[in-house]
Amino acid sequence: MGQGRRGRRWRRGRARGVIAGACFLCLLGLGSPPGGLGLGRALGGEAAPLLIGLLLPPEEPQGLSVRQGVMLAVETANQAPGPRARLVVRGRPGQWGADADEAARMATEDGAQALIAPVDGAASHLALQVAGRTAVPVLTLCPDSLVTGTGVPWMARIAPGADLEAQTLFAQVGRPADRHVPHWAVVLPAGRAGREAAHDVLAAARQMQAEVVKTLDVGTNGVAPPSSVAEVLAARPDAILVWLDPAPAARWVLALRGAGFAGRLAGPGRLAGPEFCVATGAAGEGFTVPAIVYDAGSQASSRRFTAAYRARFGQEPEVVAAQAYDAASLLITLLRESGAHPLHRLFPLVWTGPGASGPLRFDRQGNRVVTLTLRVCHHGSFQAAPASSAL
Amino acid sequence: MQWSVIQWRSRSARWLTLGCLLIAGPVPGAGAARELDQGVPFPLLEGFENFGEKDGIPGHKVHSVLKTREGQLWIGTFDGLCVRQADGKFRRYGPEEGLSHKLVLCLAEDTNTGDLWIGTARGLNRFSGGKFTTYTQTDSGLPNNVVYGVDVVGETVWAATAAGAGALNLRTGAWKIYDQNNTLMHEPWCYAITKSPEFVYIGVWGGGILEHNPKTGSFKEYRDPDGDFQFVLAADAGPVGDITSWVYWEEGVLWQATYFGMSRYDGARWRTWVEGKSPLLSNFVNFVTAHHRVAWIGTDRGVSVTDATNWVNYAVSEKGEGTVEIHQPHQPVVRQRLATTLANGFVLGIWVDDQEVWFATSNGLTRGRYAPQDKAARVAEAQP
Repeated sequence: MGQGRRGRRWRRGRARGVIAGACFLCLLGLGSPPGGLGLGRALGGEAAPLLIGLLLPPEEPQGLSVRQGVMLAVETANQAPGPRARLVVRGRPGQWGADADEAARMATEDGAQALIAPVDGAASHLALQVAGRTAVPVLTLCPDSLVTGTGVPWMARIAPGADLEAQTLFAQVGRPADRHVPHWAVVLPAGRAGREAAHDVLAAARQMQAEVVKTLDVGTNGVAPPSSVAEVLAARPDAILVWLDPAPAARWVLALRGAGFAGRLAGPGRLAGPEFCVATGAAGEGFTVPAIVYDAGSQASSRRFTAAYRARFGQEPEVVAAQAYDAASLLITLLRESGAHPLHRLFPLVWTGPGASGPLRFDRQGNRVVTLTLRVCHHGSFQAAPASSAL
Repeated sequence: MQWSVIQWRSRSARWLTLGCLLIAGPVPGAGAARELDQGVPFPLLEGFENFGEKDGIPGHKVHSVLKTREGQLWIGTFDGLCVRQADGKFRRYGPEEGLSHKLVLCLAEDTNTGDLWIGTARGLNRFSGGKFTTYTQTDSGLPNNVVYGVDVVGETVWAATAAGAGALNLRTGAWKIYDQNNTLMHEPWCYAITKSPEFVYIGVWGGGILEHNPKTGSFKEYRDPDGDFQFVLAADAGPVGDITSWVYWEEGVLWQATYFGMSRYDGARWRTWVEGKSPLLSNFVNFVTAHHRVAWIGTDRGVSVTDATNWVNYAVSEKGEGTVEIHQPHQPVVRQRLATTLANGFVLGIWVDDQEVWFATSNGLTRGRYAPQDKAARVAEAQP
């Protein structure tokens, strides 16, 4: 199907101009505030504050990390000259759909010029629905592939796609010596989140010719009852994909190891942080995740971000904190560049630049373009996977 | 005539002639549509008139437009509801007058009572006798406060909200909620409502179209047959996509707007159109309405008009320049620069009748004037 609406030459040209300008300023040493993307410093002058809305439902599993990542980006950006950035955070408990109210409120009453949507897929869709009618751009932290499949022209996803992450795991985790195709079991959250994750994970398995012998939806509280653990192990998998948020994933890892499972355990890239490592302890040893391959510029950005995050919040950042930081930094940069023009005109983003979460580059659908590798948990932190990753 | 009628077949010829056109500059449009008319079986627009803050419209963004049976023009804007007065100026109604929220997303008239129903970013409103009555998630059966679509079906007001469709029985005051728990709705995110004499159609974001028979209480789902949001793998086999941004039914034809193109269903056969493989201006379609069997399609680059065979596009470039482009079977494309154009290419709402066309755009309101011809009847007589 023609996707020409995203490929307008003038937009590409304009976005490329922004990028080229950014690169030029960086080369001149004018940009690059610590951990930032380095565009604001050259843009002096007083102007109205730039307002970014963060949709953050209270039930968001890593909500604090997301909030802190965005806060740090705003604070860092405001150390540089140029229009100041301001953050409004909304999200409240309520029946399903309350996030739509909050997203609409930020876009209308608060005057947010762009929104950051959370990891939760339903909340991201609700923000995108508001974006479709108001042309307020959205950067989402949700890895579901269908989020970028909605067709909203002014959106992009900062998190790598769940489909790509699962493909990487299926492709790069080796096979057992006695089998051509490894047998995988997949543990997924119940409800809509699980349905969307299953869509991506099972499609990736088909594509990579991995055999999924068992899928199990588990409650959102992540409790791993012995009967459910036994049900998974009864399928005799070689490896188990624990596609859950950090806290429930840790419970399942503890339960599976406690039940004697000695095969490979793996999960999404957002688990590669302190919350999961601390919660799993020794049981997390060998847990494998996909991770973005950093270039030199992103390594430097990541180091600056980690140091600033540690200094500001007294803890190590989670993966989603770095992604939230990149989302806010990118929006502030774009808002400063767009000036009086509507921000949505800079979409689709043809962006190439360093980020705290890895190189920032997007395709015409708003998917983040990344190269993924494997990282393995060892002594409480995630490190590059050894050359041989046979099961 | 001062207009330059351009015909081309090849891409190179198109660029060459476009360059000549731009050098020639805009010229008045009187009579142009008649010159352009090469047998298009529906009326062409020959000029546009734009309305904005100078006319009393409070904000740039106009989200919806409706002309009542009595000829009163109402618009929903980013900053309130407005009605056009006898002097041509717009009078605003906002939260100060009782409207539940300033962002008005959709409008519908109860033709039995003359009441106006207004969907906003926080609640549904009824404007009757000069007063607003509001319905919100917390004080009524409205499923969610963000009301993207509204229509009146007999004695029932239907609201498409971010968490299901709500149906308010005006006689009893009772609400019914339709969502993923009691219908075939794949997702509860409802974006549009329309009606036929038999059915209520709900446009579902991520769930295609849901057809509801109020007499039997049954539901039928129309989904993208290839099951993929982004790619159209099966043309003319069903809805072009599942992200339904608008639906409209008129004279036996159901039109579906999506972010991946357009669909048409006449009860027996589906037709689909996507940008690049058809004359459709853009895949990002936010709105569709129909006058007789002619669809008026609001995209992010202007308006496409079609009877499913012939296409007329009123496009707006990023520089604000307007063009009209005519596509007819077995004929070269005719393209012409316009002296007047839409206020903005991002079109969020359209109202069409035999006299005129109104466009709600993201940078003001536009009135389109027909060329002095009467083709509506011819279209009405055509078979689907």
